[in-house]
Amino acid sequence: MLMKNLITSIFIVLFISSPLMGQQKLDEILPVRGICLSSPNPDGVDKFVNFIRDELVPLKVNTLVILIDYGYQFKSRPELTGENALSTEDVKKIVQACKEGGIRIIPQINLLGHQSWFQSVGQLLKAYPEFNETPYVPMEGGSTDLKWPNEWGLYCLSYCPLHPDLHDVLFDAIDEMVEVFEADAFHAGMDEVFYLGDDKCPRCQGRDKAELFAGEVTKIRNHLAQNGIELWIWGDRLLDGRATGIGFWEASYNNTHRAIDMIPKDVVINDWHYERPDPTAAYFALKGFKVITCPWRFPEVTKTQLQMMIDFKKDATPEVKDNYHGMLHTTWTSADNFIDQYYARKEVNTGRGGNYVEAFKVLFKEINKLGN
Amino acid sequence: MKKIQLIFCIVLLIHVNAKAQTNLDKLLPVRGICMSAPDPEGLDQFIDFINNELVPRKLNTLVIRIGYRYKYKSHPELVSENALSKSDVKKIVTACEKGNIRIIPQINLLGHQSGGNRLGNLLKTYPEFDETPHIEMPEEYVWPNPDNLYCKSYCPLHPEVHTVVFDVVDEIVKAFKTDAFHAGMDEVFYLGDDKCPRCQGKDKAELFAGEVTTIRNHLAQNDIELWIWGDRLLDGKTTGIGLWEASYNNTHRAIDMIPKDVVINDWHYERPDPTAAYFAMKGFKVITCPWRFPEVTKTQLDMMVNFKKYATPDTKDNFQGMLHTIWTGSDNFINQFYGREEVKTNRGGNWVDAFKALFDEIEQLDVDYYLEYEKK
Repeated sequence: MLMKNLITSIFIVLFISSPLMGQQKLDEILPVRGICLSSPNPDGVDKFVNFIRDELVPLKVNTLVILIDYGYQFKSRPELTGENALSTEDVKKIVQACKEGGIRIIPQINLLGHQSWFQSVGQLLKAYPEFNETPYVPMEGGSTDLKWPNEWGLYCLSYCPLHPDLHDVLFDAIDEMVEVFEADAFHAGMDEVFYLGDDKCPRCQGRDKAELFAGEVTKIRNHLAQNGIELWIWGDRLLDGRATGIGFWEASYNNTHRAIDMIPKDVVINDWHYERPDPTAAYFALKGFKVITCPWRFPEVTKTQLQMMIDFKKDATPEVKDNYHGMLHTTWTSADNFIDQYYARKEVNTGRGGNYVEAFKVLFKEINKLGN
Repeated sequence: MKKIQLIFCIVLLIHVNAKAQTNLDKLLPVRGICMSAPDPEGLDQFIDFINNELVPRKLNTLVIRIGYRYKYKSHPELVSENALSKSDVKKIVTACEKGNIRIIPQINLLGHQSGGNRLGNLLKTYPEFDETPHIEMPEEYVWPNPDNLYCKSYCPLHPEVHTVVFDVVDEIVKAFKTDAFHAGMDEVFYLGDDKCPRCQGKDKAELFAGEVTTIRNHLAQNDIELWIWGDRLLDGKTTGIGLWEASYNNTHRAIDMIPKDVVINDWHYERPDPTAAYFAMKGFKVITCPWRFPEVTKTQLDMMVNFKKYATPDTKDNFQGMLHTIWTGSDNFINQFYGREEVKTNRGGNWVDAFKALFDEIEQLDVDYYLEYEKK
């Protein structure tokens, strides 16, 4: 009788604990299982929060990078606040939903590059035009419509990382953002920085572009580190676009790639590749960085990228095992669109092929097969 | 009618087979083995092995570690006992030519200028080239030791070292009628020694890169490719790969200082490290070199072909293939291969099994699958 009870008890304990063991195993296999979403408009917050609760949490998503940029009602820097900005209350709803769902939320503001989009100047340069790295590039009524490519080589404006008044402004905004999101990490963007060390910039002219980039990364990282906040950045400027053949979007043609050996090793690299499963995660990991692979719209590429991350981790030396840090799916459309497309209320229409909703679903289906 | 059909079938079969061969060459340009050169008495057995085992397995590369075991005319003072003659080498060359095997002679340069408690021939004859003359060879060699002696190095900045070394390199390249030379350059621990009047205080990565570049430039005058082991180019601490298969002596920055046409032999025996991707993305042709663990070896092959499949056009050709390594005498290896001798190592694994497994897997590869990439 005692034996039977004992055996039953053992079975019950095993049964209860096995999902926990499986969950722990999943965290070990993939510390980061995330999605990168645009932040919602104020009228889309509830829909967003529901999406977190109903879809992300059950899929065991544990990381949400939210591309909020200046879409928040800053108290410290109200001059930076954009249109359709979220209030503190709005943000707290999102924070709460993430807390309840075990999701680490990481706010993102584009720093250094991405300071404009087509013909609209971004909030920072609108409020502080003196921070513009290339003030001579015409934005209003430009002759070229500012499509890509254009005579100015303009993709997006950059701010000048050496402007003496810049970081006072930036750090106020960053600190407030990190605080309101109750976050322990901040995503600074820093992808596709084309304008850097411009010949006409009085401060940057003649300087080494890799050093400029590394200097800005280091400055931001050091500021965040004072409060134990992790810095996340996109990895493209750290890859040699020519030697690797990866090109000038997903890697760098403007000689910034040497910065990989100049920045602190605790910066977390978001390594994004959408067309091929490039083995750059191994490159970053072997260089000593935590790296997260970021897919987008091709389901089969996404699956291969997941498999590579797992395989790299499996055979890694103890020193780099934890560098293979996981996956972050990117969506690149408004939160509203994505959610509607997720529920098939809208079609996924990208003129570039693939289906990022399908890719996202496939990614998390495969992830959930890995562990309980 | 039947005769024509038969001829047609044969022609088709030959064409298909030739195409298959070309596709395999596209996928894995290098399918090789690295062996010690035989002694003169073992020459015939060596050549039989080439003909009976390497050729049928479609091996196309043989790195032959000959060192000073060749009867150099330019420097007879350096020649070892039991050295191969010119006609011995010719026999090997002929067998390789017939079997479509590219033969690449190897002499250890820079490092590996001693072994255990014995000085190598170069430093025995030219002690002035010794990077660390103050380090005495021990009576009995143990590792580790207070001198941190693994192998001695020659001083790359000695004004006369290349005069001697290049004579020998040129002669061996000519003897083997080859278009590539393997300079070793692995496990170079003594470098930029504090007591060396020329090297003291110099940057070790720059010293290493300087020597690689000097050798590469000399060979390039005659369009000879330079092959080297890749360990000094990897950061042993950050990657955790350690001090043997990677570098603990600050040479790894040399990867950004050497010409990109140096071919990297990237050797890892314990784990399938993804370093091939690292080298390829740095712009180098890279060859993965396994040894004694069959499962690790198979994974390494798998990685090479997958890396190639997904590579950008600029790096596809950098993923060059596989070179199996054998670190025992060729006589031993051949006996072990035929089961006449046991594979004995206290480090685990079985290099004969691993070699056979590698080439079995290569034979079974779905070559077309790895040669195409469709974005979806």
